[in-house]
Amino acid sequence: MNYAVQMKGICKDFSGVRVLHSVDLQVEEGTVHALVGENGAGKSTLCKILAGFFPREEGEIVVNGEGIGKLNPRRALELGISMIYQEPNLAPLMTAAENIMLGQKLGFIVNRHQLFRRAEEILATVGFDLNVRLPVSYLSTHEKQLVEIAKAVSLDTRVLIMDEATAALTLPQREHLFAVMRKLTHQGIAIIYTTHILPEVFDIADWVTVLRNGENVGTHKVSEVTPEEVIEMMVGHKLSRAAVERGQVGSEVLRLENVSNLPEVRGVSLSLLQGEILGIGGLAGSGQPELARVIFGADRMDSGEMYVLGKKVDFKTPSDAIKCGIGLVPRDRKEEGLLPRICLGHNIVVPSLPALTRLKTILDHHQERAMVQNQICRLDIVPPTSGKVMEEFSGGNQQKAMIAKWLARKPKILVLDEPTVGVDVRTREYLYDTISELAKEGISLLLMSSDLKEVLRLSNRVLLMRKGRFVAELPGDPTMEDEALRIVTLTEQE
Amino acid sequence: MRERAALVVGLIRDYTSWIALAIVVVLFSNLAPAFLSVTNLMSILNAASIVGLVAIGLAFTLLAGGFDLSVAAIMLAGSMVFGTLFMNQHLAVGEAMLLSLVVTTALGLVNGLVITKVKLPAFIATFATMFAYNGMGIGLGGGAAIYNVTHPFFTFLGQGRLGVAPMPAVIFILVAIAAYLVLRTTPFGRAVYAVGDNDKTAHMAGINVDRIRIMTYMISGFLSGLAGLILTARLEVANVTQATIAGYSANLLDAIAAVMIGGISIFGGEGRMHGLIGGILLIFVLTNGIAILGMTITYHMLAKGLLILLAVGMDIYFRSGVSLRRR
Repeated sequence: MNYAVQMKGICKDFSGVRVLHSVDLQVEEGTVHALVGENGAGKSTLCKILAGFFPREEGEIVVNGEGIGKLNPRRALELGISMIYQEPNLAPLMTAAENIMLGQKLGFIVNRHQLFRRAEEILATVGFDLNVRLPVSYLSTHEKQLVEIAKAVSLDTRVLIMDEATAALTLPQREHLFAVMRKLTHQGIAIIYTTHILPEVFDIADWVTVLRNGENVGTHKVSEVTPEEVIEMMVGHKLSRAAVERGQVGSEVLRLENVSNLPEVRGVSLSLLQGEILGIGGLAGSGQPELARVIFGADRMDSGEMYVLGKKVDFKTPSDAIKCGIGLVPRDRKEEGLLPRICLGHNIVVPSLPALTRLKTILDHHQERAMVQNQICRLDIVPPTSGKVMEEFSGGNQQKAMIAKWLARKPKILVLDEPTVGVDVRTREYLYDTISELAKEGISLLLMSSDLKEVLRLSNRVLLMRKGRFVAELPGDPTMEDEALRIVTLTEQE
Repeated sequence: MRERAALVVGLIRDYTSWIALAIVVVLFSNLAPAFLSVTNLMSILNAASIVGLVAIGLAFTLLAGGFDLSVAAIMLAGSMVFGTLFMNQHLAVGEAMLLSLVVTTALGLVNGLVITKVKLPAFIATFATMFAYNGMGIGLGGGAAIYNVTHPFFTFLGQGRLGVAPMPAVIFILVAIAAYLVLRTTPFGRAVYAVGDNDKTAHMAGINVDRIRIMTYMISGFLSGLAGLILTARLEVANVTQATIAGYSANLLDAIAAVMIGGISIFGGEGRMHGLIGGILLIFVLTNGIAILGMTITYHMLAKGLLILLAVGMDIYFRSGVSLRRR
């Protein structure tokens, strides 16, 4: 058996936390090797180590029977390892042909006709044709991916890594991509393919490796396993944590009827009760952040109706939603949640400024200080110095500050979008406790997360979202994780 | 120990311009005894007041993440509006002053609208309006200066004294205190900083980002207009012609130098009013001291250039220092 690449005992740390624990991966020539696992299982990290983007802490990489020392992206390319991303990385103003030939030595003076002809030849060997004279910015995502593949082929790639390559594709485009992949394997190229969508594994892959919490939990021939067995491996049988204790729920505070914001949100209806944690789970890209933005007034809905406390609302800006007692903790802390160079105290009071004034103009500094101290204690923000600039806090404490900013306003509804991404384990537990306490205090929470364990553990009810729609409702029960994962990964494509 | 070091660094950073100012003042007062006299200090304040007003307006736009290259042009246009209304249309002095300020505030509003609604980058939008407003100023006078612009009250504003203090300096100090209070103690001031630091976050916190930005350009327009009136009162002439405009544009460059030396970050969201005042004073103390010592303008230019490099360099150094520590 000829291995195109072997990775042995790969370990990787991110800021002191081990994310890959001695992972082995062996990929045969001329096969498609699927890499599956839940969010955060370590798929992308492993791929990026092989492509030379991340250094590894420990472990050996063998290509063509030879051990490889340090890797960087350039060295990886020389060894015949190329990586293709979900969003292709091309020079948008250059033609497809120029992009394909980018890594080649073309001599000092470039003959454009020759360049176009060679690009066309390369495209033909992988079986598609495209006007190579078009600038890349005119191409669809699918076509850009094909250009990336052609570029890889022109560089004599032996191992092609495709990270979530189908996430942005339509069904026919996906079929086309699979045809191209089969053609490549016939030429002896090995493909490492990560995906969230299990049926794809059974369509295209020869082998499947399952990662869970940074460990390889098994490599199997695809013909010898069933989807159910793969899901079982992904979830694991270790004891699920018990669901957190939940408080009493009251009457309805938020109702959505057939709300759409195409193409991400398609006809969503829900009802949120007082003191309830309503989880919205689903794979990344299912439309949760877009739904959160619509509820918060950051985006307008195309159609549908929204009611807060029984009153019909139509938010034009976040400020309208804030006035109705809604807060949003967005997933992208840096981009939308923090004022990085401004101090903690001022960050916390930003949405409350109008309420902190005397005669509507002058800030009441005493009241402000009290509000800030209150929230710093309430959420145990470390260090508790209100004058420290926000960007100097750790990720977990930044997250606490973002929640504090809304709590200071005493919100009725809090929308949390991926609240525990990028925070350490201890802070995560702390945030979980805080979230359930808030619900007991009567705040209603919408918890959006692609971490199914998280939503099942915290929520009273969980709505599963897929491609902008709710596809199922489950009770908030951590033991239902298999079922939830089955629903979000196996539901038929439209 | 580390905490104390951080505190010291923070203090130095907050008061950079004042520390530099103190050093320069000590230096000059030793080299030239005449430097520290009340008369001389007042004349420095008097000289600094016009650029100072312009720089405070400019600082508001910078703090909200914008820029205003049209400040000097607005100042001159305001001067010509007053000159035309008062001398040619024979309006009452109060009315002419008020209308001049309304016009300059409106010019700021135009800047704000072009930047927030048409979404042109502030640097480009105000670069363009700078030419337009200069043209407007020249057009108002028909290409000629308006002479003998005098009136007891008006001239008092430009040349009078309150005790030992020249009126322009009094106005400048009052405006600086007001600006300090607005930035520190009003929701608007906080919103300016929030918008300048991260406008997406500010929007998501319910702040009307466009309105805040537009208001900073209106403040800039208003203060430039005020500076224009004081300039006119001091010179007794509204003198915007093709021949003079390049010379007056030095006011813009001095205002930009003052905000940079004063620690108003060119990236928005950072900087304090007291730092800016220190920056303005530093520039004019240098001008004055170098003149008293009988040194040439060469040294003055050289000193200003080095100061800007130092100030902006520190801004960028401290910034990258933070991001390095985070990594």
